[in-house]
Amino acid sequence: MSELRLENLRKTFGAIAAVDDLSLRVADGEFVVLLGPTGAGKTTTLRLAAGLENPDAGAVFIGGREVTGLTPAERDVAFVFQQYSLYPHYTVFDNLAFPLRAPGRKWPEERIRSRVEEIAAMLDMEHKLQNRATQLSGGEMQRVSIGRALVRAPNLFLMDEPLSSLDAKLRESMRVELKRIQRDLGATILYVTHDQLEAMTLADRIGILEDGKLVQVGAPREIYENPVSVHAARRLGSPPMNILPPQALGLPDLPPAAAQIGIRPEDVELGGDSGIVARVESLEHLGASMVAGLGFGNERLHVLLDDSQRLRRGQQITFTLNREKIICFDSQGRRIDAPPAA
Amino acid sequence: MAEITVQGLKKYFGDFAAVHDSSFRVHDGEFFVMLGPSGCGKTTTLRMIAGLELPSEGRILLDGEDVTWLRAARRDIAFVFQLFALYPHMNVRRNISFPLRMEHVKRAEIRRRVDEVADLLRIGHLLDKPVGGLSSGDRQRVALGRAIIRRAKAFLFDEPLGALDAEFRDLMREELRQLHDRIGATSVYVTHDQIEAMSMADRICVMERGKVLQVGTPMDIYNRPKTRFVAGFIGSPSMNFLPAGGGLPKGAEEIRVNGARLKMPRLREPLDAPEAEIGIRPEHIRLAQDGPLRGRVFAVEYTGASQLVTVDTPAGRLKVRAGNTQRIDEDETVGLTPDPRRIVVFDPRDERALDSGLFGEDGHE
Repeated sequence: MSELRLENLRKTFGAIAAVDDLSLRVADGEFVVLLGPTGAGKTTTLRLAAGLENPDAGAVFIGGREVTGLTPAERDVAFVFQQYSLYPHYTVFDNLAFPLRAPGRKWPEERIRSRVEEIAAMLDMEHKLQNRATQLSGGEMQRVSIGRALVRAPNLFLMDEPLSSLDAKLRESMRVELKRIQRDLGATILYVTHDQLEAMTLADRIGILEDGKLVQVGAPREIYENPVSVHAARRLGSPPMNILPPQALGLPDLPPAAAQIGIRPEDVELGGDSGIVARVESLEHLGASMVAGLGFGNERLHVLLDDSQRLRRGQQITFTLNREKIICFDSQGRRIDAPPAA
Repeated sequence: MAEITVQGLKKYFGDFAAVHDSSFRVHDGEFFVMLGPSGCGKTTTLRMIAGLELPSEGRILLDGEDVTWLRAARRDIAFVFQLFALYPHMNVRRNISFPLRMEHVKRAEIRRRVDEVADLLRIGHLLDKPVGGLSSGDRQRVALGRAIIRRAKAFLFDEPLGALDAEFRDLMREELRQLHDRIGATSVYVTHDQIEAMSMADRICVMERGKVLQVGTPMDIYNRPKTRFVAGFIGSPSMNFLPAGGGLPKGAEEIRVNGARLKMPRLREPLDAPEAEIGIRPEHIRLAQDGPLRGRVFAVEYTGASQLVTVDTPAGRLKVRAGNTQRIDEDETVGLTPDPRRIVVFDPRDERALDSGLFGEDGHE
């Protein structure tokens, strides 16, 4: 069992509360991603879990045992950093074997060899075991870093943007690989990123962080479809959810407290005689799809369209919103639960 | 008003050919993006257009006038470097007016032009503020204002958004393009980011290893790539490539892939090589039990508006973009149907796309 539990963690740096009364449970075998912009407290949370920082208040439990105050080594967690930190002059084999050769461990060389080979096979790096780290591509180096974390089968993996230094294509394939390895091993991972696509594709559950506080925790689809606040709504999805004043859209039957309404770009449809008249102000081709920026009155919204639509910049069009997908928020940006009447 | 013509441009640094015989034309008022990986020669080409670098061979025409050997300052072209460089001790107005003050333009004229630019960038309310306290978006707008106040015939941009974080880059991308539409000047924009190129450009010029591979509209390049490199470089996730049977006559409408026969656009030239390769984009493959290709689902990634499904087939690993409501499980066996109108066939010897019905009536030229 390697469940991680963070209870009411608080960490301040001077007057700033980097992590503010944060509680989170990562179940055994679960992949949880903390998502937030720079300064939201993601990395601090991860460092508190690892024992690289001590909290001002609160407690950390791993596998049901309280580890607050214990050193990272005593917690038996593996940390994967953003920058791969391999020993450049060691071979891939020796880099992977390094954690197993720690003096306290006293593993016979044969056992080390078979474990390293097992991990290398999983990472598809068997044929590179004798290469030096400096002869590897960026993607291979990051795979070895992840392998070095995997090799000693720790209780828990803590990962701080491990894919962010890779190029886009490599990130795409590593994302799929990492998720698969985690699933096959049943590994427990707390992972930190600012990239919403990475969070959505990797996570069993996402924790949305804002100013050191967790504002929502849930499965990617749950947060995407049912965000609790404007902030959470705009964290997931690209382009982000449109947030508009309701009076600009002339929608009947909204809850009286609705100060802002949210609609995803894919839930706006073009055309319709009764639609709102707008002007195409921008048009971005993304290949499989395109994004049009529509201006109407003093407002703007984005629409996600498939690539078969023929539009010109400056063109007049009409649009309608998919009523069932509209989300209402109050003046504080909090979700209003009662959905608009059908 | 400016049309830029590049004819047979070459640039050598010692033995290294940074730019190889490049020719293209940038139309008046166009937003033209030069796209390629680092080292492909795009920045060198841009610097030659600006006059910051002299070509080894070839000509550059600005509105028909040969400017190949003209000094940068005399070309009436504005080069926009990293947008963030502002003078910290000057307020917004003085930052924007700086290039005009250097040219000793009259004060009344400077004031009028600064107001006009500020209006265009919607930063009129910031003119008397120090630049220190501005948000990063406003700083970027001020830097842009300083670049456009000279009213050059053309603006050249070298990866201006490269240093920004993702969220802000999306916003500035749209603003820059709208600014271009309002000013109407010719813009040449260099980037290695294919999403930036696709979303901003009227036309894209794809370069690799000093050569121009293709010039076309974003949709044209995306749907009708002329080489395997272009096909693979544009699009995220990337186009899928699968080995296929060669030896195809002109007029062929079917191709063999891993034992299956796939329909494809009619070939307008034969392929005598024994092997071929097909390319098909993730959104042009349908998951269907009766599909001609079969494979096992390796991963399903939910991305909000859609799902990305990675499927291992005997012919190789494929990515499929599916709707966000379809239920797909890992390790499930699925059938795959590529859209026959969307298949690109490549000659593996030179990685060129074969001419076919995909390229429309006029074909490949």
